[in-house]
This record gives sequence, structure tokens and C-alpha cells, in this order.
Amino acid sequence: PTFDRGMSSLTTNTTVSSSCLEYLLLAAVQQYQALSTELEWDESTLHSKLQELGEHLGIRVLEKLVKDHARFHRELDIIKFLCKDFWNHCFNKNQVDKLQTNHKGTYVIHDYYFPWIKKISSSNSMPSHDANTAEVKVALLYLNITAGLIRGAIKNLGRIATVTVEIQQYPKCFFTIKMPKDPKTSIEKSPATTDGATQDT
Amino acid sequence: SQSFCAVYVMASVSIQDQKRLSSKGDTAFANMEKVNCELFVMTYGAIVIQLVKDIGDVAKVNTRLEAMGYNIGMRLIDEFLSKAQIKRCKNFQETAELIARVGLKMFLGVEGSIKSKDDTTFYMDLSNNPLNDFVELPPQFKGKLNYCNLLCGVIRGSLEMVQLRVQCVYTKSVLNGDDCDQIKVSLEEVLEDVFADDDD
Repeated sequence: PTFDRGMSSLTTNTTVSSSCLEYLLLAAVQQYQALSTELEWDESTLHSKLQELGEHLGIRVLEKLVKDHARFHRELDIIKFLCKDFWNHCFNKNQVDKLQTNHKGTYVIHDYYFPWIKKISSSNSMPSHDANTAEVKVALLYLNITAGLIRGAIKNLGRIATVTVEIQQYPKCFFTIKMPKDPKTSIEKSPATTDGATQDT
Repeated sequence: SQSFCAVYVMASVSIQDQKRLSSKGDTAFANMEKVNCELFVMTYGAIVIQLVKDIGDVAKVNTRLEAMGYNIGMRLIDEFLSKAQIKRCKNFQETAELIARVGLKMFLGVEGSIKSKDDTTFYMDLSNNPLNDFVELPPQFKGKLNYCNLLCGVIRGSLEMVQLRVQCVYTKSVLNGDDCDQIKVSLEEVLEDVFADDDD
């Protein structure tokens, strides 16, 4: 179903407290953890549900963000926009920490301390480097929503991409975006990795 | 003027106090870190839609939204009490005004208005609930999906942390064609005596 009514707002207030968004995301992640247990989802199903959530959000956010802008023609323009304007708008962070590309349609966005996962690790004195700790598992839930957000944003800009997220050295994370040259060809599946990476198909 | 009070049954919170609380709410909101409202309400919308996709049953989605709100309320109360610098409420009407003029304002940037039914029940009207922005319920959900049920849970969860056990339900929604949103809050049990005679 869609519940979308279009672009016009009923209210005049343009901001809410940032606590609202933090509490909401936390509640959503906890709710999905509970659902996952009740409905007996495996981890990759849980991750893909969260990506789906993120993707829907990404499409809508982009709609509002670029309605006055010209179309993006170059792939790199899309990615740069994601790394700056989009990152700033969604996460209140000026831009990502690092962007890599192989110039063949693969881009890797690095964030060394992603805002949505800050509140998880702040309750512990030292972030753990062990990829199997509870913190990392929880962080991945937020990051999967984000991976979906990125995918949705790219989709709204006219391209199909696969987006995966990994944590190899907590709290650093990176998102791998693969954009096939011809949007009409089938999406190439990335091989699964063992240390907490997720698949988006 | 006093004719304003005549509409309500037992409005024991004076206009002066109402204004004082509104002002407190404005100040508290001004001091909060902010995010873009659209981003927040769209995030909420995406969550609701995903829950509908994954759970299916609308009644169960309503319950989940309320449960999510309850978890939020339990956390949010601490931030509320410390940032708004609240003293104890003398009665349930004052609690109501606090929620509408300070709580809602501080977090969502909008103010509710309170109609008290009696000592243990009040209705809070919200004419510009940002969560409703950009939302149109398809026919099969109208009257069935309590889209903003999260707010009921937030109120219930936060009040429970101050020893007030309440029932909180959505009674009107603009998404169903009503003129405003409305939440009914009924006090069921006071878990310990919080109505102290403080000299505020």
C-alpha cells in the first residue's frame, strides 16, 4: 500500500527535536528485532526488511530534496550528491568520510562514526573490534535501513543499484554501491561475506 | 477572558498557568537540537507502511505502534523532566496541560489543547499533528488503522514512569476526515501518591 498524499504539508513547523528521530529509529529497530524473533526470520530476512523500509524512505526523501534541481546526468554526480547533500540532510553530518571508486560502476562510501549508531556505542567505554558482539549486530540493523535509504535515493534519481553495508572495524562502516552500466540489464549479485555483510537483491 | 473557561468542565488550570506552560514549552523546544520535520514524519510513514507489509493485520499494527510508543515514552520521560524542569503536578488536569503545552511542544514543536471531562479523564486536541503530513489513508485503512497510535504509547509509557497508569486512545483523526486529531487519556491507577502540596 502507499499512504502518500503528495507534496503539500498540513503544518507550518519545519523542525522537530532530533530526539524524536533518535527515539523513533531505536523503537523501530527494537520492534523489528522482536518481530524477527516472533516470525522466526533469519538475519538476512530481517536485514532485507529493514532495507525495504529504508528504500521506501529514501525514495520519498529524494523526492522532496531534489524537486527543484536539474536531473543528474553523470553517475559520479549522483554519488557526490549522496555523499554531501543527502548525507547532510539525513544524518546531520557535513559529508561522508571517504569515497572510493573503481570507475567501473562500483563506489564505496566510508563513514567512520555514523550518526545513527553513535548512541549504541556511547553506552560502552570502548567500542569493540569483535565483529560478533551485540553492538555490531544492532548497529547493522540501523545500517541496513541506511543501505536501503541510499538505494531508494539512487532509484529516485533514475538508476538501479545494489547497496551493501559492512562493519569491519567498529564503529567504522562502509557502503558498497554497484551501479550496472546499462540499467536494463539484470542486477549482478555480490558474493556474500562472512563478517556481517548484507545482501541487497 | 473567563468565558473561555466556561466551555470546559472543571478546568482547574488557570489561563495564567496555561500561558506559563506554553511559554515553558516554547523555551524548551527552542533549546532542543532539531532535525528536519519532513525527514522525521517520512521516517514514521515508512515504518508504518513496512509494519503493514510485514504484519498484515491492521489491529496488530495498531498494537505494535502503541508498543513502540510505550518504549519511547519510557525513555523520553527522563529527557522531558530534566530539560523542561518540571515540578510535581498538583492534579491530573495539570498533567494534561503539561503534556499538551510542554511535552508535545518540546519534542514535536506543536501544542495540543486540553478538554477535561472529569478528574480522571481528558481529551487532547491536536489540530496540526506533523505525523499526518503527506499522508492519505487508502479506503481499506480508514477507520481501522490508528496511524498515529505511537503517540498514545508515548503518553502511556511516560506517564507510567511517573506512577500514573493510564489508558490512552485515539478518538479522532484528520486522516479519517475528522476536524482534528484527538487523544483520550483516562487515569486508571495512581501507583504511588504524586499529588503533593508543593509550594511551586
